[in-house]
Amino acid sequence: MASADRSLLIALAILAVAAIICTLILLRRYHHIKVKLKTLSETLDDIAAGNSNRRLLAHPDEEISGLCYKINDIVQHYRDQIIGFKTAEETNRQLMTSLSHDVRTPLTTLIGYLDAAQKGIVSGSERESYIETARERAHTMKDYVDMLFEWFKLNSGEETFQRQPLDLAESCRELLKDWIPIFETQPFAYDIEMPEAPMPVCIDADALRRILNNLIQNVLRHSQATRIEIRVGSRDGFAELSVTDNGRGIAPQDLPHIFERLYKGDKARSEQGSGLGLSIVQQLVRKMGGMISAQSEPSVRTEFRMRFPLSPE
Amino acid sequence: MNDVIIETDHLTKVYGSQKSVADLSIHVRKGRIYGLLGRNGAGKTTTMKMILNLTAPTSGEVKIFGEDVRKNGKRILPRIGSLIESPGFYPNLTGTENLRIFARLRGVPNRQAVKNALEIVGLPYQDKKLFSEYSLGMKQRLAIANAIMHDPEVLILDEPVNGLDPIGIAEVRDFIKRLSIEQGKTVLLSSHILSEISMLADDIGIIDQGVLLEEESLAELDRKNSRYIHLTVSDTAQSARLIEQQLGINNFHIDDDHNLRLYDLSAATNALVRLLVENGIEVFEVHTQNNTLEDYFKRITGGEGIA
Amino acid sequence: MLNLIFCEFAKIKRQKFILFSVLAACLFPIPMTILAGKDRMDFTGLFNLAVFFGNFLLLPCVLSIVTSILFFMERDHETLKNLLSIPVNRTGLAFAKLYVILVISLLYSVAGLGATMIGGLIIGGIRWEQIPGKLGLSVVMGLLAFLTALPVLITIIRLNKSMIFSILLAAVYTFINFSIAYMMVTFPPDAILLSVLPAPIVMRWWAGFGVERTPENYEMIRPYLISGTACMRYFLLLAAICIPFIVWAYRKQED
Repeated sequence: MASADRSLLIALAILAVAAIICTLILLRRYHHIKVKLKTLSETLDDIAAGNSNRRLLAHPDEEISGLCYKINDIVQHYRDQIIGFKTAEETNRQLMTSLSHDVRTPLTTLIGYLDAAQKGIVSGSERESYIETARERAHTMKDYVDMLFEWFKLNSGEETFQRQPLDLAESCRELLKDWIPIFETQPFAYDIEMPEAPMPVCIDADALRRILNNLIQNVLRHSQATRIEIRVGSRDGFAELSVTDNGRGIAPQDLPHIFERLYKGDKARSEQGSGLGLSIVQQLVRKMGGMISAQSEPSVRTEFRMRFPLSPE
Repeated sequence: MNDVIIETDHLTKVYGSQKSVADLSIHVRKGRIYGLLGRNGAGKTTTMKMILNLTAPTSGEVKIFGEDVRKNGKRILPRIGSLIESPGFYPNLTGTENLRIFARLRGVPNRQAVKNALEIVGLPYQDKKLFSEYSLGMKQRLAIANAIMHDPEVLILDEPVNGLDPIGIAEVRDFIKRLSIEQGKTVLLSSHILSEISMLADDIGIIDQGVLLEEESLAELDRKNSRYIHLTVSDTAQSARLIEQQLGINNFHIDDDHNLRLYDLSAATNALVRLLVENGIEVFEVHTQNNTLEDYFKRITGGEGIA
Repeated sequence: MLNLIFCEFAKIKRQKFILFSVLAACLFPIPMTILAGKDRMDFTGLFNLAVFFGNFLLLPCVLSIVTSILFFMERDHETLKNLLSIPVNRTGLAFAKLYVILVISLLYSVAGLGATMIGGLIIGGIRWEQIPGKLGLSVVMGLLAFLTALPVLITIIRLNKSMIFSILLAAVYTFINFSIAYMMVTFPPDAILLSVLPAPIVMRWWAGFGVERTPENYEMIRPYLISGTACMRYFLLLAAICIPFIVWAYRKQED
C-alpha cells in the first residue's frame, strides 16, 4: 500500500516536472515569435521609408521564414526594376557626355584644318595635305561614332546574344585562320597555343569573334608590337583566353582605367578610340559570363586575359 | 547629416602603451564606397574590428545606422557583411558546409542564399573539396561569399582583394563597384595600395599610425591630382591645329569654343602663347595646374609617402 | 541555442575524434576481459573493472582532447570573428560546446558498456535483466565523468595553450584524482581530499552501489560511503561553480 502510494507520488512528480518543462519551452517559443514579429514590423517600416536594401533574415526551418522570404522577393523585385531604370538613365547620360566630350575634340581639330585650307592660311601642296589630314580625321571619327553606338547598344541591353555551347579552342582556331595571313604579311612573330582537349564554354560565337578581333586589332594598330601570343587554356574550372604582345604597353597609372570608356576626371587619353574598343570588349566578355583583366610591363609584355566558366559536360 | 551610415567618434584603442588607433572620426555615407588607406599596421583592421564590435574601444564610440554598436549590436550587425583579416573557416568542412553554418546562425534572405553567394564569387556549390584544400584565392572568394550571403546593406571589407590573381581582383573590384552603383549599398574597405582605393572609392580616409590624416572625396582628390595647361582662346579649332602641327602634341581636350586643356606639360607656356598669338589667335587666359597625388600624399604624411 | 548546438556538431564533421573516443572506450574492456576470464569473475565484476579504469582514468583525458578541439577551434581557424559579427553570443557558444562534450562523454560511457558486453559474452555469465540497470549506471557515470573533468577544463580553456599541453594537464589531474580514489581506504574517512576532489566522491558513492561484497570488506569501506543525494549535491555545487568559470575563461580568450 505504502509502496503504491509512493509510486503514485513519483509518477505525479514526474508529470509535474514534464508539464513545467513543456510550459517553459512553449513560453520560450512564444517569446521568440513575438520578438521575430517585432523585428519584422520594424524592418517593414524601414523598407516603407525607402530602404530597398533591407532584408529579413530567417532560417529555412523557422515557422516565419516563408513569409520573410516572400517579402524579400517582392522588395528585391522592385529594387531590380529601379536598377533597370537607373542603368538606362546612366547609359543615356554617358552617351551624351561622350558626344559632347569625345567627339568635340577631334571634330574641332578637323575644322581647324579645313578652315585653314579654306581661308587660305596655307596653299599649294600644304593645303592638299591639310585636306588629306581632315579627310583622315573624318574617317577616324566615323569609326569612332560607329564604335560609340556599338557600345551604346551593348550597354542599353538592346543587343541580344545567343549563348550556346561551343569549344573555345576550336572556335579560336577557326577565327585565327583569317588572321594568320595578316600576321605573315608583316614582320610579325606570332605564337598560338591551343589545347588538344575541347574547352566547352557557353558563349555567343559572334561575340567571341568581336572580342578576339578587337583585341588583335588593338595590338596591330596601337601597340607597335613585333610579337603576339594567343593562348587558350584552363584553370580552376575556368577556360582562359589570353592575347599577349610585346608592344609599348600601358603605364601602371593608366592600367586600372583602360576599360573605362570615358576620360576619368581630368585625365585625357592620347589614343582616341582605343579605350572605347576595350570597353566594348569588356562588355562583351561580361555578357558571356566572363571576366577580363589586363597586365602590362611596357615594352616587354602586355597581356589581356579572359576567363569564361567551363560548362559542365 | 542623416545619410551617414557609419560614424566613429574619437575612436581610440590602446594596446598596452601603444596607441593602435587614436581619436579616429570617420564618416561613411550612404551608397558610397569609403576607402581606408594606410600602410600595414596603420590601424585599419583595428578600426574595422571596433566598428564590428569585435574589439572594445578604449574610448570613443561607433554609430551605425545612428545606433551605438556596443549596445545594439544584435540589431545592427545582421545588416552588415564583413571580411576581416585572413579568411577564417573550418578546414575539415567544404565551402558549402562552412557557409551553411554561418547561414544557420544568422538567417538568410531566401532559400538559395548559400548557392547564390557561391555562384557570385565563382565557387562550386556542394563541392567535395574541403576548405583546407582551397587555394588562397578560393579562400578569399569564400570569405567574400560569407560577407554577401545575407544580402547586407553595408559591407565592411578588410583588404578584399588579398590573395587573388589579376582576373580575380578585376572581378571583385567590378562586383563591389556594381553593388554600390546599382544597388546603392554602402561599402567600407581598406587597402594599403593607393591605386586600388583610387579605382574603387568615392571617399577616402588616410590613416597613418592610428591617426586619420585626411578624409576627403575622391573627386576632390582628382582635382588635386590634375596636371594640365588651361587656355582660354578666341578660336579653339585653329589653336588645336597649330598645337598639333607645330608642337606635335595631340594630348589635349577641347571643352567648348574658347576653352582648351593641354595634358602634355612638355610645352613651355610662353612658347605656346607666342605660337598662338603669332598666328592671329587671341589668348585671354593661361593657367597651369600641376599637382600629383603622390606629392599630396607626401605632404600629408609628412614626407614619407604612403603605401 | 538549438542552432548553436546543431552548428557545434556540424563543425566536428569529419573530425576523427568521435570515432577515436568510441574506440578509446573499448580500450579497457579488452584487457579487462582477459583479466576477468583468468580470475573467473562474473559480468558485474568485469563491468565494474571496465568502468573503473575506463571512466576514471581514460575518459577525462579523452574529454580534454575534445575540449581543446572544440574550445580552440575558433582560435585556431580564425572563425571567431565570423561568428561574433553575426552576432553570436560567446556565452551561448561556450554552453553549446559544453553540451557537445557532455554528449561525447555519454557516448563514450555507453560504448564502453557495449564493449564490456562483448567481453561478457566471451567470459559468459551475462544476466540480461541486469543490462537496463547497467545502461542507466553507464549514463550516470558518463555524466559524472563529465562533471569530474570540469575543473581541469577551466584550466585548459583559461590557459589557452596547445592540445598536447592540455592533454598533459588533464593526465596529471586525472592521475591524482584516480590514485586518491583508488587508494581511498589508506586515507582516514574524514580526509579533506576525499570530500573535495570529484573522483573520490564518485568512488564513495559508487562503491556502495550494486557491488556485492563480503561483510568484512563492507565493514572496511562503510565509513567512506556517501548517499546518492550527497553525491548529487556535491556535483550540483561543482557544476554551479565550474560552468560560470568555463564561460568566463572562454570569454577571456583574447584573439
